[in-house]
Amino acid sequence: MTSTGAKVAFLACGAVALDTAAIIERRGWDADVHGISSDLHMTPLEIAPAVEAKLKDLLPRYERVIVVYGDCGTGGRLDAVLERYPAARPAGFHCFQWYAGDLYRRFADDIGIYFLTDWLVTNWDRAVIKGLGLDRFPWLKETYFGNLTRILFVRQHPDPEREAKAREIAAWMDRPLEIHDLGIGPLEDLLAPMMGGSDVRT
Amino acid sequence: MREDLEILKRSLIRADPDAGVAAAQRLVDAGVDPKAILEEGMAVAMFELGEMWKRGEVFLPEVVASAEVFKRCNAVVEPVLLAQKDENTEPNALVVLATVKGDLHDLGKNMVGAMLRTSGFDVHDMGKDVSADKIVAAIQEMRPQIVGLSALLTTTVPYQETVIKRLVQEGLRDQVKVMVGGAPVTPEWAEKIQADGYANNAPEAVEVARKLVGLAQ
Repeated sequence: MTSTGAKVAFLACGAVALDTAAIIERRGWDADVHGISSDLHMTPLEIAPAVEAKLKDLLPRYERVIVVYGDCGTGGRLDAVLERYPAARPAGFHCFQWYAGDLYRRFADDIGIYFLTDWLVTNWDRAVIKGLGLDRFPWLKETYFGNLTRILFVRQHPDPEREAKAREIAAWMDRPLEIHDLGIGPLEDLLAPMMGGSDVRT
Repeated sequence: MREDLEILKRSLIRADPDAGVAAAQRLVDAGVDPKAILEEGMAVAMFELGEMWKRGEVFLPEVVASAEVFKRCNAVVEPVLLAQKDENTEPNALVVLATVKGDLHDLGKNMVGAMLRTSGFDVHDMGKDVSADKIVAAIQEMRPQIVGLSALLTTTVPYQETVIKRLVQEGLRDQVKVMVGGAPVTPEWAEKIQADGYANNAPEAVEVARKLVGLAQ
């Protein structure tokens, strides 16, 4: 039993945890939010074992767990873990796909797109520049991003400072930037059916 | 020569492009056998890096950076090596490499190609976003011993199976060994789609390729 009495736990990647919590609050769901590091995205083979360790910790206290983590390059290893537990996750490969919703489907064939989210823009220097070693090897920029044609910023919460950073990123990558204000509705549409609620936003 | 080989190796492991390219150029200018530069310098460094990766002493950025340095050094050495080859030279086993259709990620494939070249394979790199049609045509034209299919995205991994099925349809499957790789690719997936080989890093890909062509057990 948990201190809150909640029967459902959300195990959310750091890149989506705040928005997941906001959706839970808005919907009034009886659920707790637990976090798991977004840094695992850099080492995809560690995602499934890390999630499994968290599930083992959480499931004695909850009836089920909704894992808000994309496949993120695990190649199905994450889903294979979830099948062994009363746990499930929204369908999709990446968090930007969840946030982009219909837009992602519309551009599915355009393989030169680089997606930004609020989290990625905010954490750009730590997650991308440092995470990919561009602080130490700046000459790798073309190696990493040379194949891209444009940048789509699927924005959750408009913020002038974050928008300026997104424009700075696009300028640095020398690619055109499109900003789409999609909010957190597309993510909510994925989570609502998993809580047994309406999948129509109110 | 020894000193420059050491500088070359060190530059590759430390990912210093300027020092690496300069050392490679000095070795070439001094008339050092390009095969020796590759085998005793560049390959040794990359295998050492692979071991460091396995031991957790280096991480993805270091490996990517070293691979890029390798590419730049190889651009100095490889033309000399190719110029030395003549019609009497025994051909090496040929590997055709491709990042499959829908996928623009070619870092891993490039690293595998570089390591294969240093290990005595000829490599024809078809690039990225390559369709099954083009791969089939390349196999029909070049008759490689191995085709290597890379995919980094979970969404593009299934295309490896698409290619293998096309090879069956075209009656080519028995004529070429198929290796698959890419971060989301698993040994189970490779077995499911009846690939002949799977590797999860570039040094391992070389070992698998050597086994597939009978150069290693």
